[in-house]
Amino acid sequence: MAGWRPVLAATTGALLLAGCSGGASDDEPKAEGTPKKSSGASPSASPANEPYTLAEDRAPKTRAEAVAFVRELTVRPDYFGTGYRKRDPFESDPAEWAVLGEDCLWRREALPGTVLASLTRAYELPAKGGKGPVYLSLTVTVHQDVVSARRDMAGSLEEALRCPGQQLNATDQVLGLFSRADAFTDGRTVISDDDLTETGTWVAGGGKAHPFDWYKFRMGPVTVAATALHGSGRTADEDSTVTTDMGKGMTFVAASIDGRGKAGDASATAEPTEKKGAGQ
Amino acid sequence: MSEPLRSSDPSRIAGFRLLRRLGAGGMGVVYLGRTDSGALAAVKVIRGEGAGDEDFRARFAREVELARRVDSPWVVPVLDADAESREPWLATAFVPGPSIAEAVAAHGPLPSQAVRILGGLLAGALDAVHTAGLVHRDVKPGNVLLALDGPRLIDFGIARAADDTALTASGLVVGTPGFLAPEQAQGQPATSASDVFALGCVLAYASTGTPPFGTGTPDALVYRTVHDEPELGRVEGELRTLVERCLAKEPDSRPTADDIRGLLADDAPDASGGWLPDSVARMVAARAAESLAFPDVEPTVVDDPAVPARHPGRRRLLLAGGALLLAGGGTGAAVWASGDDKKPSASSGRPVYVLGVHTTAGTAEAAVSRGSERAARLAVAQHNATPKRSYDLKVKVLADKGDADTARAVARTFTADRDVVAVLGPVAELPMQRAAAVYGAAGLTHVSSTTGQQDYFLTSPKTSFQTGPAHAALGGWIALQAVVTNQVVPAGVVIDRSGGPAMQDQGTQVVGNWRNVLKSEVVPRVVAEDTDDGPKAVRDLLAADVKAFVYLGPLAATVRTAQALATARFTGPRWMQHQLYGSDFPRLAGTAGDGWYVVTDAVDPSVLTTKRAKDFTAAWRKRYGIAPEPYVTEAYDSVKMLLAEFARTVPAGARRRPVRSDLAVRLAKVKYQGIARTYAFGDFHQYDNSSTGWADETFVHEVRGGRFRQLGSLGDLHRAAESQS
Repeated sequence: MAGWRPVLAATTGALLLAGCSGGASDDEPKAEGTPKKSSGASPSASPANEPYTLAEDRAPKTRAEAVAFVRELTVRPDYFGTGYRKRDPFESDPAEWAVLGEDCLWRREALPGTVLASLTRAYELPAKGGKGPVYLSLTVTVHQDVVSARRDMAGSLEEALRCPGQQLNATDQVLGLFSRADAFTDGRTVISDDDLTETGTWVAGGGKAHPFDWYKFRMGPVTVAATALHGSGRTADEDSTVTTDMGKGMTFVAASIDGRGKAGDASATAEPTEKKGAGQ
Repeated sequence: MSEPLRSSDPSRIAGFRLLRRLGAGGMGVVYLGRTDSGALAAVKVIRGEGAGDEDFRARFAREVELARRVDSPWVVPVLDADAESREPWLATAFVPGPSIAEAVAAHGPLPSQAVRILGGLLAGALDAVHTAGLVHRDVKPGNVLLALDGPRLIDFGIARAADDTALTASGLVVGTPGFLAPEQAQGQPATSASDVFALGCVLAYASTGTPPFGTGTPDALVYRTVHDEPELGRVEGELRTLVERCLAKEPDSRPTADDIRGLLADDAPDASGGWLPDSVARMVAARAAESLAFPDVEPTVVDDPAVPARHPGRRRLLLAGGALLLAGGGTGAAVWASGDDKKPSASSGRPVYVLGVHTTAGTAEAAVSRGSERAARLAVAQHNATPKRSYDLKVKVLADKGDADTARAVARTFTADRDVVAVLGPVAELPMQRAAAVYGAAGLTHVSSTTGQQDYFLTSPKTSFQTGPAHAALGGWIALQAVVTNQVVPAGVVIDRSGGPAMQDQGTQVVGNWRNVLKSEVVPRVVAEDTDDGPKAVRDLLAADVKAFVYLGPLAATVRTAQALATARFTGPRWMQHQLYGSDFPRLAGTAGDGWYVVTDAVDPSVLTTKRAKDFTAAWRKRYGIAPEPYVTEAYDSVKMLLAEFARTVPAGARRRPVRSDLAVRLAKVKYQGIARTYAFGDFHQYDNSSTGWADETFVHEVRGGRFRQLGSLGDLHRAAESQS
């Protein structure tokens, strides 16, 4: 009966987690591994009655429209906090996206038929005052319809279950991933149709482990995802601020997509500007 | 479902030897009797006001005379009667079967074919009653008993006194609100068309498991019956059209009983019970077998003068819905006749405090809502039967609609009523999450026994409590069952998001434990909400050659998975999500459901051997006529715990009122021994499972033969495995 005690420990830990996820209050009880879904993800003090969303009929319909849509979105570095700047290369090829293989290794591949465009932008908070750099990415993906976007969210949830450890590239690994998604209709502190949060740690080349965050929102057929690879030298509170600020930046992007849908300019035609992103 | 005779009871009435009491009400007592030839009979003896009333006697005699003319195999026959006796009495054949109300409560709605058969035969029964010149006036699920060859209509119109009524804002009505026709509800005389309306309600109830005008106070029911359209849920096709016609507001627009019989005539049953679902047929057969075991002579018990509620006052009966059972298996009788807790005597001089029950209306939460209400009523009735109590309690039930606004509105109503001292509920997740803040702000303590998300603590850290484990914990315990029963094999786990966030809570733990603790292979699949991707996920996992299966999703998707796995001849261990315990899964999945497990904190106390469990089961049976349903034990524990701690906040002697917030302070530190578990609360006021006791407080049920059967606690299973190895 070797399994008895460890199971107990695992479930107790989950209970703590479940006890704290989903809240947005300052006196939130602190528990290790708690997804810091703090007020940063929701700039308004009270939960809104409507999620940030994009109606399917206001979303881009063609690849050209979708590429224009993702490129026209403004995502300024300071959305994520003071001191962030663009990395070079800044934008990925919108005809590719990252796919987690059966071997738990991320690779960039051509978009499947269900995805119209996907653009990743890269940012960094340079090292300063004994604190290591933060590498942040923001990806906006236009799916062909809402159902495809829902399947993509389900797939993202499945990834952490399938591969709790993932290889980002030749040197970087993320470990101990835990993710959960809450639909707006579940009534939790959620700002888009479906909010996914994933936390874990990342390790570069066998070095020390630092926090890793991945947030993903779904707004109708569009998903917005951000990752942050925290550098060394931060206290738990400072790491928490990095995460919160990333959530804030995503909220600006979400609000801008929501606003474009409401303004009716989502389907404005634009020439596809086929700029070669070097990818990652 | 029956109790021994008392010393005050006669041992014989005319040709009937009396064996047991089946029930008691305002009109008198119903006994189980046996004729000299050995046949069982239900003998109703009129006592009290009715017996001395000449008008009553005359009407009783006339109606008995008419009833003897009723000629239908589906109406319980009158065997004998005497209107002239000092205590007039009436004997009818005894039908040992369960009522529709009990069958549906225990096994869920009936399949549409069974409802059609029921409708045809009951229409025949009513036609016979109407032809004899009678109007039944109280057709309802509790007055239709089930036998293998068809239903039996009982309690047809006789000996129902004018005060056998429900009190509503508009006055007295005869019959049972919720099954009353609009004209009857408005105080007009009942006609044969009123019986047809009630028949429509019964058929809707049998089809959906809920009365078509909902549940609630008599006033609310009467209002809805008169003004609202019926809620017919999944009643479909011709049957729906027919039920809608029966439920026409205008009596002249309804079909006659004979019309209905004609429309449903092609659906005749055989005598084998094949028209009933297997689970119900087994229930019917079991009751029949039990009735054979009734002894011929039993010792009587001495009346206990300390129990005041034996002969409930007239006012209580009025509020009870006027549903005195005339005759029959003592099935419904216990429900209606065992005293009512709604109105403790106001003349006692004792203060009256209110226990709120915060439920959710609608089919999805119907079972837990009803169970919570029943648990509260039983606990409160027990309190009010305590001779030396210093205060009386009453129950107030309010239902939200499952959304934030109505949940908060219910909480505001409770918190605004200064007599409300504690609340059981809310029963559903979103209401718990949102109403908690209202309760917290008002300092009103509430306990939810049926939710497993713990968001409430953030907005209400002082007065909100949860007596059920987190969904995540229950998910983790699936892996524990696999360990203790030696079923650690590669598993496929499907998280179907259509089932809501609790699917992830459970699934994440199953996957994590399977991989990290059991060190076994696990293949997870997440199915997007509102897609039809479940079957493909199941096929993928079968193709991956998994040896165990966990499907965490809504009922229909899980049933479909059971069928797919049966078709694929998959025989490895299979688990469903814990919230499906007590659901329709066994009936819907049929034999494909056999062998599925569910791991839950919800206990079936009727199979436990401890004294507490036996006492509770007996009390429940006595009051409600059936074994405790899923989730009622935990609700009852929660109420008893609340009331026990509340008692300690009531100032002794003085006329001061207890301070609301004192209860939460006590509860946070409580260690309460319930029927099958000990309750204590953790830092977030959640059910504390950080000790090892929970293994004995978490139960594995297996679906077998059309129902959930409790295999034992995880601790039991573990010890059994240890003793074998």
